[in-house]
Amino acid sequence: MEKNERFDERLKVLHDTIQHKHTSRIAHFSNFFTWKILDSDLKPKLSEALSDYGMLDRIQCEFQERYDFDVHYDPLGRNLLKPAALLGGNHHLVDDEQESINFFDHTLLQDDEYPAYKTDRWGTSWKMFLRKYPDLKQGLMAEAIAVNTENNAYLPYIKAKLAKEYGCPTCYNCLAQVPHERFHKYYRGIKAASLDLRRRKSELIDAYDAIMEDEVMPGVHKALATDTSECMVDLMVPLLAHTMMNMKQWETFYWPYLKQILDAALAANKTVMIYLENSLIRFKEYFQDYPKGFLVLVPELDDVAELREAVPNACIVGGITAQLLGRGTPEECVDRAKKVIDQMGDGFMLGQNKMMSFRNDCKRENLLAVCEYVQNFRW
Amino acid sequence: MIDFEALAQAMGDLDEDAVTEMLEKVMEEGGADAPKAMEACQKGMDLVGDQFQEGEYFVGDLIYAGELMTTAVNILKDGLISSEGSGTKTKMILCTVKNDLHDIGKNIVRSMLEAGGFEVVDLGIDIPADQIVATAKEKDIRIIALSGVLTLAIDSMKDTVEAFREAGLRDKVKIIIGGAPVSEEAKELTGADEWAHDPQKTVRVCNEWAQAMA
Repeated sequence: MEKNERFDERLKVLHDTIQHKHTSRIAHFSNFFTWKILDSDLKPKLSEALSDYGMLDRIQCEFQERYDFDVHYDPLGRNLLKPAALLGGNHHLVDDEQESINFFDHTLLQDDEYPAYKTDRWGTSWKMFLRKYPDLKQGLMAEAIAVNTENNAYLPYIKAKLAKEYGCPTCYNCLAQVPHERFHKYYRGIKAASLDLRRRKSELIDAYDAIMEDEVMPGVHKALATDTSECMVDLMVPLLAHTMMNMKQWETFYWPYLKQILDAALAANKTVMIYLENSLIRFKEYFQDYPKGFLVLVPELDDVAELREAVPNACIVGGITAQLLGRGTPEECVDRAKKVIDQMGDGFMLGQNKMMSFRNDCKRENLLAVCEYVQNFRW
Repeated sequence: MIDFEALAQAMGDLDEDAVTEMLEKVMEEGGADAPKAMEACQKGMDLVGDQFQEGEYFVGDLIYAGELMTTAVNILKDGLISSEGSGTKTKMILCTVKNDLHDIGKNIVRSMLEAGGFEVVDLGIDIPADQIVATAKEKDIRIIALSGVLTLAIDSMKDTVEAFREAGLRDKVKIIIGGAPVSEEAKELTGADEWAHDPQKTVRVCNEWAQAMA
């Protein structure tokens, strides 16, 4: 098949799957992150690869040539460490011996700074920046900006290369997050953000409303206006902080903002992929009324068959666990693939339940066996 | 004297203002009722656990409950120290295993275990197997709770169970593993005795073990 034909064929399979149309074959979604580096025959150290764009490029291509996925959630553009490292950032801990990356939970926004963040977002952001990089030295900013520009150029480059050379459509055009996510993950940290849900309700809502109005929705509308016909989906919304919330908190601090994003995408006749840390099942009713062909759910802990039953209108991605890929045999992995493809039917992409990051998340022979099965599978 | 039932209920409702007000009153009155107040707080934590089981509370609420319990202990500290002994608690080890730096889940479990009457030796995060075994030997501890969030933690949990085996202590200790990546399969793989995704199960299992060991 010619490269362009390959691209068109993959895109059609992906789009048809999202629309719950019957396809001739099963779409295969890569949720592989830094495991690709550990699997590479180039055998780089994790820290070396993460700061070398040329090496990341070669590793991503090697991965695609070996396994031939239809689409990549992460084309190895995450956790690029160079700009932050230049500024003296130390929140990511890369351990080459253990082949692991850890991220420290940290508080950059002080307890009483929500009102300031609402009224003077850029001033408060600079304060946080200087707290994040307390050892920032004069003259490094220009160098860091240059490196960050290089970083920013890498993602479009590798996406275009995957499309052109391997016929892999880009997974999503634009990422949108509800406001609480930035506090949970970046500004307050998981613990402080969780305490704020009880201690600072009105301050949170004031800040979130302002962020939605000033930043999130203008960005979403801009993204929805672009031509994304060559992407698998238009928007990607990661759900991480919902894992901390009780139902009342979800209804107050999360769902109203998520609904605005989803409704805007629906009104624009676009599609949304939701990446789910932990589980979505307890919030299932919020997603059941969206039409078929609009939502793609990528769950971490939810069983895909249970999720299908809970949200039958959504396309589901997953079915193969890191536990199985890392600890099972090729036969067991293929048996699972057969079973889940048969069980799920249309509106399902085979994928992995974790952001595959560590060596023992997967064995090469297991993944090769699953890929071979998928590539030969026809309904 | 404060109403201890009301204190337990306020703790269960995670009403920070009411809890701190009542505890401060206990200390203003000399602190003699500090042990009773602590018992009421522990009852309140049971109510928190019940609400978690029923799906009313979620992980963020458990973090909040842990903070509230820490506040309670700090307020009552002097009264608790000067009171008569409050009985012998079962000691246990809790830590996040080697190669994993996550501590939020571990800290929630610690709060719930302490509220459940355990003396928790919290070794912290990124703890190698030999340190866990050495501590268990040194302090004669027989219940071990291993926490982790990364899939990488499964290997470290397995190493830890193996280290107990190599030290000839495997039959003497009970080991529970907890955190997002654990499962029945992970229990089998690591050789642990139990696994849990939620702190309630951890407390229940450790209580059963403690009673069986008594």
